[in-house]
Amino acid sequence: MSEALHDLKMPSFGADMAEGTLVKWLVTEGEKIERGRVIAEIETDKGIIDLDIFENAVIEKLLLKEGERVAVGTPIAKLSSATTNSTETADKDIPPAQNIINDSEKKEHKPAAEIPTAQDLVAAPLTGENEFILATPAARALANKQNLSLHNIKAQNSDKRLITLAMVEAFDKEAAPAAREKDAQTAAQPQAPGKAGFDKEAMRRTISETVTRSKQQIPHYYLSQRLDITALEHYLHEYNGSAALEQRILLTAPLLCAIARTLIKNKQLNGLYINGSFAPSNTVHLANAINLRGGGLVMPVIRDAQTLTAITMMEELKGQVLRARNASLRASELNAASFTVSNIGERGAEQMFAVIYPPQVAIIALGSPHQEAMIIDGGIHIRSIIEATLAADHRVSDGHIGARLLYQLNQQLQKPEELWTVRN
Amino acid sequence: MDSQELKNIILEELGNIAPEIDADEVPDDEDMRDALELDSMDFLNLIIAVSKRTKIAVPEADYGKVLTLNRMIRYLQGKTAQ
Repeated sequence: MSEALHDLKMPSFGADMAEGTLVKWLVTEGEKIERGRVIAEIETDKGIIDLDIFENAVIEKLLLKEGERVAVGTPIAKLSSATTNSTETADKDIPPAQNIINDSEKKEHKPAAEIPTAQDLVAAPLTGENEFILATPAARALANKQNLSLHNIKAQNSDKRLITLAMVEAFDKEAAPAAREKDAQTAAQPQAPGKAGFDKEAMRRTISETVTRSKQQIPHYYLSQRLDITALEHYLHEYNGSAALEQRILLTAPLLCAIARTLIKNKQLNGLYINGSFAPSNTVHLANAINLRGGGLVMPVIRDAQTLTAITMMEELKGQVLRARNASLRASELNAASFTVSNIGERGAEQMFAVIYPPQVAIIALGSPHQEAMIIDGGIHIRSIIEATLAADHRVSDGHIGARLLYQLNQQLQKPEELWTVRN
Repeated sequence: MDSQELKNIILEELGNIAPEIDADEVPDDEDMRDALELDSMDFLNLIIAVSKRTKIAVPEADYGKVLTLNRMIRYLQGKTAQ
């Protein structure tokens, strides 16, 4: 029996994995292990994964310290195998631990895999900042459990991504009152100007994974309704004609008000589907998809949108668009949306079919406003129209429910003055 | 205010609203909303900002007259002359 010394390398748990963090060794140097033994916990974008070994061996040397992150393929331990001529022996010439990424290199070395997965978003859909605080699922879960804000922790960490170790450190700090105060100060500090900006590549990947998951798991049904906005437009023009320049209101504001007020009456479309069951929301936290020039989108949330008027909604939107473009959205704006509206704007397609953002169960897409000839009471009339398309989760609601929402929405728009006053 | 001054004001305010837009990229006679991907919110903010700087209010009904850089300059000049 020859004792073949060989390297154990950082394994790949998927094509998109570029690096792994050694969270914990479950063995010590000199220990004898049997085939099937879990020897370490490795943290990746997919969460913490147990690393098990398929040989009988002795742990000769541990090459990584706990918390170190290395590229896939980097040797992490030296094993001597009791078995004969393992194919692994061929790898022993690789210089040890050459790929360890130290802190200063981390900033430059930013693999594409360093992004949140769709699971991150779903597990904690809107608990983070929308500047995409990169955190692994385990870190997110821990943050939720301990009521920590990923944003605060990130501010104290030079690392671009949060892992559990950082979270544990943060929690330890939080336990000390003095540290908590310091954290509050850190959180209160505005982001450095000029540093703002979303990681577009990461965002693209996240969108990609989220919509793929949505389409794979959510049985969408679609309904389309022409919304007659003629009365609303008239009312709005009149209002804007007499309002000061800065008080002018965009069409979007009363439209979002109308949607929120209609949604509060249609509970099966407003809420979250988690772990196989639907929890309706008793308020409307309306996510408003904002397009970013150069690609990507963010979806800040307008909280309790059903309580707003066109005027207060417009104020919210103004601030939000500004913050979204500067990537300085607030944590509260990224929390727990119960429904999403995607508005194609004044110069886009007439109709859009949107993808539901899990774990929400419905989304309305508004096409661009345009004029159409409509037949009303036997006569042809030119009306201003927006084509609204609802996509909803068939596990939670049926077409009848969706149709009622769109019908009621159109009815609400025929009474635009109501949208300028608070409803009891 | 001459047209160069007005142009500078517009480009400056445009830069505040959309920092990623290069002033050199702004076409003179193309619809700014299309060419620069400004949405209705950006455009409203531009009008508010330019109105503040020039003290010329642009009513909503006149938005169609200020869609390109040159047309906006001409519109503002016309109003100053009045």
